[in-house]
Order: sequence, then C-alpha cells, then structure tokens
Amino acid sequence: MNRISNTFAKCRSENRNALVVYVTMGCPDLENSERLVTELISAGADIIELGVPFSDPMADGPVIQESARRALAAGTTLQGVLDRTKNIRRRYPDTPLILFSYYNVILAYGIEKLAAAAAAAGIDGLLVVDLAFEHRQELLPALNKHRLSLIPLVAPTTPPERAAQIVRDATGFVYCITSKGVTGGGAAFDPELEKRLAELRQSCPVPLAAGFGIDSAEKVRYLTRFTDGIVVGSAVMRRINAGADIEQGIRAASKLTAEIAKILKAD
Amino acid sequence: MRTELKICGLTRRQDIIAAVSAGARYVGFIFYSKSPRGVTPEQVRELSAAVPAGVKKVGVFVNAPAAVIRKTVEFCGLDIVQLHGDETPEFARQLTGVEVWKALRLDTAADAEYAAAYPADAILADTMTAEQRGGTGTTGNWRLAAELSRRRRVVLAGGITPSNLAEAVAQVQPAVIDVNSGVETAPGIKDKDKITEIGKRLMNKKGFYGIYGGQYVAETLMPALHAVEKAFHEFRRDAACRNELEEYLRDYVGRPSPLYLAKRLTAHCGGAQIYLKREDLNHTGAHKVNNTIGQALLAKFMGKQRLIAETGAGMHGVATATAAALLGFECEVFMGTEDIRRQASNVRRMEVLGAKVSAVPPENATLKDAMNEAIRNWVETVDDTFYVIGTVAGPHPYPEMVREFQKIIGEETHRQILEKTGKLPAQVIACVGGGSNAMGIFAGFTADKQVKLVGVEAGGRGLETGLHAASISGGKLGVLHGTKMYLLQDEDGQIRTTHSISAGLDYPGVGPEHCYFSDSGQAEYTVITDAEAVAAFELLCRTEGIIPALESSHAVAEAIKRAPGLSPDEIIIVNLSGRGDKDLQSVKEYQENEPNK
Repeated sequence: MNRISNTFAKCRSENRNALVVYVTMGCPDLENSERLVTELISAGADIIELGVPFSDPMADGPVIQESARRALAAGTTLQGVLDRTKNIRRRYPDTPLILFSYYNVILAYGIEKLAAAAAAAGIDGLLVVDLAFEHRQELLPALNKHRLSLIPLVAPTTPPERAAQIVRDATGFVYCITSKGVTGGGAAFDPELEKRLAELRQSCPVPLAAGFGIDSAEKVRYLTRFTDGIVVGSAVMRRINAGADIEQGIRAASKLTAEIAKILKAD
Repeated sequence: MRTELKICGLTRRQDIIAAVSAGARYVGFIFYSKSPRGVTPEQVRELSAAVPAGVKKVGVFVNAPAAVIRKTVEFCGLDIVQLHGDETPEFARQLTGVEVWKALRLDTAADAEYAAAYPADAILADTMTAEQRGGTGTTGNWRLAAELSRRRRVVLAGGITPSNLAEAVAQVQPAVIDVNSGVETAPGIKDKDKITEIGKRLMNKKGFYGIYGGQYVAETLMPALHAVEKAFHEFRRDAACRNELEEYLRDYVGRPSPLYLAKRLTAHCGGAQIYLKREDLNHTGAHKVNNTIGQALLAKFMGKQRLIAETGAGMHGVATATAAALLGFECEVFMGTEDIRRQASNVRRMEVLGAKVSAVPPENATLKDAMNEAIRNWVETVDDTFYVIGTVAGPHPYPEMVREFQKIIGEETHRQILEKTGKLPAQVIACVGGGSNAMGIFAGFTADKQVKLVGVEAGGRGLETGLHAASISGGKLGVLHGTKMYLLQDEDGQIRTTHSISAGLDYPGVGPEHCYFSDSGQAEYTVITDAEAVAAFELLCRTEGIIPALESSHAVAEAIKRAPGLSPDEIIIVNLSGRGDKDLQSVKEYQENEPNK
C-alpha cells in the first residue's frame, strides 16, 4: 500500500492537482492541531504535512516562526506529534501524512527510533528541511527499512544536473521550492519558474509538488499547469495565528483550504 | 593518518571491481568452507585477475594448518594472512615471509592487553555483537579498539555500515576499516551502491572533522555553498589575491600584531611567564578583521555586491562593516535585540561605517538568533550577496575558510615566541564561542605535540546552573546553522537559551573542528564563569593597563589559574583576541548587580 502514489493517481484520474497542506503541530496546542487537520481534510486537503516545531526554524518566514514559537510554548514535542498522528491515521486510513521537521529534532529523538515510531504511527514520509541531499544516507537506510519516503527538495537555485540527480531515486513526491527565500514570502514568481518546473517534471519519476508563498487563486491556477500538487502552509497558519480565537482560526483555515480545493477541481 | 578501506568476504568478480573503484586498498577472501562467503584457492586465483597492482589480497583463515596457509599464500599470491580462529602467538610466529593480521575480540581490558602483545603486523579488532550491529558506536568495544589503535596498527571490523562508518573512524581512528556484511544484500553478494557509498564516505569526507561539520542547510543554499567553496580554492591559489590580502593585513590591519610578555601579570600570578598575543591592537580592535577582509576580498573576487553578517558582541559586525567600507560593498549586519542593548557602542560604529544594523527579535535575542536571520536573508538574496560568517562554524566551507583566514595569528605567534625565547610555550590558551580566534592561534601549534592547546568556554553562572554557553563541556551532538557539532539543547532537540556575560561567546554551538579536537584530545576545553572573567578583566586592566574584551578575559582567567602550577621557565600564551571598550557597560552592570563580589 502506498498512500502517496495512490493519492496522486486518484487526483490525476480526476484531472487535478493534489492539495498538500502544512500544519505546525501544537499551534496553539496539539488537541486543536488534530482538530485542524481533521477539518482541513474534510475541506479538501489531499495530503497533510505535519510540521514539528523547532526553536530555530531558519528556513521559515515570520508566520511559521510564530507558529513554532507558540507550539513550543505549549510544550509540543516530536513524541506528542506522533501520538496525535495515530489518532489522525485511525480516522483517515488513506490520507498521506508527511512528517515535516528540522534535522536536529530527529537526531535528538534517534534516527532508528524515529523511523520505527513514525511508521507505527502511520506516517508515510519525512521531509527534513535542512538535511542536504549529500547527507541523505544518514536517514535513508532507516527510512527504507520502514518503507518511509524521504521527500527531496529542489530549489530555484538548484542547477539542472543536480536537480536530475536529486529526483532520480526519489520516492513519494518531489517538493519544488517556487522562490528564493523563506516560507510564506509573497513575491511574484520568477519567469524562469515554469521552464524549471516543466523540465523537472520531465525527469521526475514521482509526482512533483510546488510550494513556498502560494497565497492566491492566481498563483494556484498558474502553478497547477506545471505540477501534480501544490503545497500551502504559511497561508493556513497565518489564519490560525490571526484568528481571534482558535475556532475562528480553524474556520478561516478550512475556508481557505476549501477555496483552493475548489479551484483545483474546477481547472 | 588516513583510514584505508578493506572489503571482505568477496566471492564475485563484479564485487571486486566495485570495491577497487570505490577506493578499497584491501580485498579479503575467506578460505573457510563453513562460511557462507567461503571460497576455494582455485576461485581466488581466478578472481585475482580483477585485483589491480597496489591493492592487497587478504586471505582469511580459521584454525587452518600452517602448511595449508603457506600453500594458499603461494598459490593465490596473497599479500596478507588474516588469522580468524583461535591461533596462538606461537602459531602466528611460524608464519614468516608474509604479513599477518590477527582477529581478536575486544570485550574486556584483558582482551585489549592480549591484543596489544600479540605478535602480528596488525590486530583486526572484531567489535561486533548482535545488539551492536549498526549500532551507534558509543560502545565499550569501540573504546577498547580506540585505545589499542593508539598503541598499534588496528583494523576495525564488525558491523560497519555506511551509516556508522564516520563515527567508527572518528572514534577508533583505525589504520584500516574492514567492511563485509554492511555492504551486502545477501551473504557473499555485495551491493555496488553501498560499496561506493562507503568508499565515498571514507575517502571524501570533505567538510567533515571526524563526524562533525558538513553542510546541513536548505537546498536553496547548497549551490551557493558550492560556489563559495570553489571560489575560495581559486582565491587561495591566486597570487594576486594572496598579495592583496597580505597587503591589507600589513598596512591596514597593522599585522603582525605584537606578542607581549605581561610582566606584572606574570609576577602577580607567580609561575609561568604569560605572553599576550595582541589581537586587540588590530584595526577595529579584534581578530575578526583578519577574516572579514579575507572574505570580503573573496566576495569581490566572486563579483558579489553586498555583504551580510551576524554579530554577537558586534566585533565581527564592525569588522565586516569596515571591510565593506574599504572595498565598496553594501552591508547589512544582523544583531539580536539583547546584544544591541549591551553592545551599543559597536552598533554606532557599524552605522558610521555605513552598514545597516538590523535588530533581530525577540527581546532576549543573541548571536544564535542573529545567525538565523542572516541565513534567512541570504536564502533570499543569494544571487548578489556574500554571507560573511564570523566564526569557524556554519556549513562547509566556512569552518575551513575562517580557520585559513585566522591561522595567521598562530603562524605569527609561533615565529614570535621562538624569536623572543628560543622555545615553544607549554600552553596556548584562547576563548571559544564559535572558536575562530582559538582555531586561529591553535593552527600554528598543531604540529607541536608538546604544546598544550586550551580552549576556554563561557561558563556563565556555572555549568550546574544551566545558565552558560559551554557547548563542548555541556552540550551533545546536534545540528544547527548548517553544521554538526556539540550543541546546547534540551532532550527534544530544541536549542537551549544560553547565557554569558560576554556576547561574543553567547552561542549554543561550537566549531566542528573544535569538537573533533576535543574528542581526539588534540586540545583541552575548560570553562570560566562570568565572575572569573570579570575578575580577570579587572586584573589585566590594573596590572598591565590593557582593557581586554570580556571574551578574551575568559582566556586570561584560565591563564591566571594555570600559571602558578607551572615553573617560571615555562610559557603560557594567551590569545588576547579583542579589546574591551565595548564591554565597559556590561562590566559596570555586573559590578552593580553582584554585590558579593
């Protein structure tokens, strides 16, 4: 059973992109995060990235920095995230769940132990922001053993030969970063982007998802011409952080997810 | 010493070819019919055609008669006999005319003693037990192997995989590492990719110091790091670049900086003579400028327009702003809000030099947060911007590059002390935050085994309080800001808030080469508290008329502690890395708030 490829296949059969949604787990607390994930899946998210908060999120912009700060203040741990994952998995047996983390949190937990615990909790893959392609062998043997994918990242700065090397043995899907900078940047896309995505999709043996700074219907419509999936993160967490209370936050995040899901289905 | 690779248990031609192309210098064949990897002399003779000259053939025997071994050596052209059974020392002595390795289990100190005395050219330390297979390498057996490896030639075997290889090599430092089942898909069937991977890890550990270092950054920055690395190597080879740097260091920075015998401080302490390497007399007032001019010239060489930097105490920020003004760069310096408060005079200096100082929230933000923000900015501006990292940390090539730009401190000191006294110092002491001034002065003495290198970490209010910044003394292995190092973190891998009176040492990590020096014993790392540093600051002011930076005061404090234990004809050199004008406010606040002093 491979939930990731099944999900992308299903979306393809519906002639649409998959909607990948990132959530900082534990913001404002794990119980509400579990509820948020549930609501987002109901609203049309196909794949969920469960973000593990880190004290020093160097690849993230202000929104996810704030989410991580709140999550840590609420005492969120990787173990806590995995415990919640079990509940989500029970409720949604088919939705791919990706654990999204910085490497140090994984190292502290223990690589072997994490691979086993993540697989047992129902995780399908890991995305480790600061684990460069060159160092992937530190994780791969343990992940392979537990049939977990390591989702690779390709950046706007990645030269074509390197990109080809990165995607060659990829499993799950490939995450293509749309723009230079941190998560949640709102700048317009570089004109080179579509060429890069088209080339990458050619050589990519697994589906291609794009993310970073996707915050408008125009960007969604534009990107999905070149991708198999799109990732929304900061736009969702911005609504959680901005809500007067968590109920309002979850409602706004679900509404956004439903709107994007609708665009994906309509195109 | 470089660790060589042996691939053992070979049965197929294609596996030998994979092993050799991965860089293996030894290939092993098991002449033992009960082994699933067992081969006959006839097979090995045939397989030998795939073994090029220079690669040694090792025959593994288990309690075979000496006559059989001799015959097989001759028939197969074996270079080495590896005895893997219960062969006695007497038996081993019979095997003349061929190199002999003896495989021994190392479970106890008695095993290690037996191994130390066994008559063989090398001991193959078999450290695998069922529960250690693929283990983390923090096992007692590896410790015993490491001890043995310091005494004689050791081949490390047992449970080595691509994942634990680096750790095994770092801990044991064996002459040869022996890999067998760790690169197999089934007994005797090797996996080419695993062999290649292990060879790559062993031969090409670029950017690593033992298990420390690396490039743990988001993909967006990887190509930029590759570009910096490539340009740095070109820069170093380019005579015009080297001359330009030398000229600036001499005529602009004022190098060489003096090496000064602190007579009154020496007399006050009693004992060893204390010399100060006066990096505080450099233009801008600290060692940081050696590195920022180097990196700024490199940025110019690469055609970049803008420099960014993180700063704690502000000395690296000032030195970067200075280099930017000198060479015509736009410059932005990221500084934590807390540091902006406690190092206000340096903020003003950066501003008059034309740099933009960006305050990094939250309110208690220090060097670590400044570095986060500099990295975030670099990801966005990587096309036209060069990130000037101020210490021997961060992703490869920064630790190497910063050490190269700072090693002039050590080279000068080595020359100066010999000129002045005709002998080498007993100890060289430097403070360690990220560790650039320490690595700079250590670099001049790493070849002199009799010189003790001492790094001093910031003990803050004391290790036991948790309020400190002593990463080696109080941290554990982790990854932050692109490098694997000792890191102050909680049990969940969240980075701990650090504390030091000295903003420049207030960092939760430490350069990877220092981590390696600590593990390998090449340097010793100690801790000085805020109180001890302030006392040393006051003492140096009053005895020598030198106001040291609070960072450097940690090294001075350690020297004050150590000097009385040494004889008056011995020498301690302290790297006085910076001057303390910037710290007057911090010292005043400390004196006012610590009435017991």
